[in-house]
Amino acid sequence: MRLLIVEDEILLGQALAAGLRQLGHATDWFTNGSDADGALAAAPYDAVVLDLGLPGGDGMVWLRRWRDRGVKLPVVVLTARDGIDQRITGLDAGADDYLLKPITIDELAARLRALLRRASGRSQPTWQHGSLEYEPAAKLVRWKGQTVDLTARELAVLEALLLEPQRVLSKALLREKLYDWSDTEPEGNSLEVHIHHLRRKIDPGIVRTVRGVGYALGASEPQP
Amino acid sequence: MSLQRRLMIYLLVCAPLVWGVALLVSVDRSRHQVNELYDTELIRLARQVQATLIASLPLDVTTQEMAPLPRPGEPHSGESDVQDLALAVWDTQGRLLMSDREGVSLPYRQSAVGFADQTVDGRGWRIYYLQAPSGQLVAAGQAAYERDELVLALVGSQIVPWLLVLPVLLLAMGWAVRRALAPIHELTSDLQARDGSDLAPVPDLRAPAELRPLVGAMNGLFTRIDSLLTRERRFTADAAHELRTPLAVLRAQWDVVKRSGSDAERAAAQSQMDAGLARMDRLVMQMLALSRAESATPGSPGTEIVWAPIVEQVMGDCLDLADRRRIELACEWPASMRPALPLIGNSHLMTVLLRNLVDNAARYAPEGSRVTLRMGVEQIEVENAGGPLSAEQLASLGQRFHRPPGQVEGGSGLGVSIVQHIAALHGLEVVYDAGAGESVRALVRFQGGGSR
Repeated sequence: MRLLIVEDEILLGQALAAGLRQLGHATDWFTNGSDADGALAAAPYDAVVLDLGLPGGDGMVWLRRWRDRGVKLPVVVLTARDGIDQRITGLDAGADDYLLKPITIDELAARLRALLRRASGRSQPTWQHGSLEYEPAAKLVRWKGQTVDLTARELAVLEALLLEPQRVLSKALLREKLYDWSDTEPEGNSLEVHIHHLRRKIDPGIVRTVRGVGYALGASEPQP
Repeated sequence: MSLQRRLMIYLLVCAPLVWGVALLVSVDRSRHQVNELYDTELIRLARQVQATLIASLPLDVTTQEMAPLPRPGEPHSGESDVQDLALAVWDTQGRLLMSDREGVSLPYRQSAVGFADQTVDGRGWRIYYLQAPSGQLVAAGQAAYERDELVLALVGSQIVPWLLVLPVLLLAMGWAVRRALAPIHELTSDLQARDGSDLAPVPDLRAPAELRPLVGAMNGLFTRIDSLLTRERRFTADAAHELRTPLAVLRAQWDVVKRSGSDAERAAAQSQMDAGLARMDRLVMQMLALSRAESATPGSPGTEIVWAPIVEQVMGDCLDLADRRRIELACEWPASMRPALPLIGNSHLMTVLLRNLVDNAARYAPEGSRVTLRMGVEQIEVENAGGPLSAEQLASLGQRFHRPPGQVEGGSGLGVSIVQHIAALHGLEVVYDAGAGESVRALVRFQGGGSR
């Protein structure tokens, strides 16, 4: 998934971005609200991690502004403000979760996964698509009960497709989900390479190509 | 020992003592009165004997017994005890001329005149000797115990009601003491009933005059403790809050290090973690410095500050930072060897003050610029390029944990607080001059000295 981090503390922003990228999430990091605001309009993010004490405008102000504008993206507030009333204000302002510093990257990632799961209308920790099972927490993919070994990028493509099983995702959108702006890629047809690998490793029918539009999740059962 | 017990003991010891002294005085007075009475009686008796008897006595008469007096206990003897009285008359040769039964044993003393206390047959007697002009010696004696009896009887009549009243008196004293000390008990139970965190002043209106200074002092103490606690609580809350972010940094950095795949990635993550640790280190050190500066008391004895070693140390401490940011550090001393800012104080704290000023300047000045420490006679000045600062920025200086937004350098946001605290302890003030110009100057000078 593609994540947006807004954190003015440089060391923390760097570390969070690096850690989430290690987990296979395309992550962009900004130090102030207006940059993040611009990015939000420019790329298809799946979730936002928002610090509250930001220069040039409190995080809460930006959150309200986004919600007023109809941005439905899951937003996790990550802050050092530990007052109960501050949490309440944060959640009421439209935050989907309110996390206190310090937090491990694993927990942050787990919270983000949970939010995404809920946002996509699922409640089980395992995503099921016919014979395909996906456990986002463990990064585990099983096809007909057999574990399939996938790279982080392949997983990210599969996850993006699984998140919206009924939708055809354009190549551009998939690339944006896959690569953040810090990447020196995308290297031309690498998306096609990842798709090819998915088909080879799981099943040729798992990803359907919609010519001229993009890709969609394919058959849920093995092709004969 | 409780005040009440002490008072009771004093009263219990003193009351009988005073009482005993009064008793002694009383015995003495009674004895005096009794002696006066009986001595007069004896003199009169001796005179009467002399006047009435001796004149009529033949000089050569042999010893005569007087008519027997009624014996004690006989119906017509009244309350008299004649055995206690003795009379004797001797002629010039010392022959006993006349005596009553007890008088026989009175000793003859040829030249005795006036009163004498003697023991006769094992009994104490008081005897009056009278030399008659005709040469006879008249002696009238009275048993001494007679007088003691009377004195005892007199004093006893006083003692008995006193003894009877004594327990009542002691009870009354106990009640009075308890009653008088009631305000103390009230105060104590008031304080005991208090919640541990209740530092509200004790109302001193009800307190008696003796307790009012104590209550006043206590309230003063409460107020001081309260403000101390408030400060500590604020510091702890601030610290807990401020430690969250650097801790979050370290946590996240450590997660990245753990998950690093390649050596290059790990090295990069580790160097990031170094920066995180340095940031944490600095924050904790600054918190400790602030805490120490805050707990230092003003007016504590100090020594004359010698600036040269302090400046050397400060410059040394800031060298790393200056190198990293390509800042040129310089120090200017007053001309003609005049001493810089003469000051009595704590040189460790002054080092902390100067270090913070120079460090702040080097941290927030544009890279590659210059920071100058000017040791003046009347003020110390730290100048760095940058600025001008807006009124808002100036106002936010010295707010705890405030860090200018978008800072790459990991300051703690405590430096200015520390500087201001230490300055105040030494009667100094810190003024920031960042008006127009291309530079920001921090001035340290004596409070009220110099105009802006």
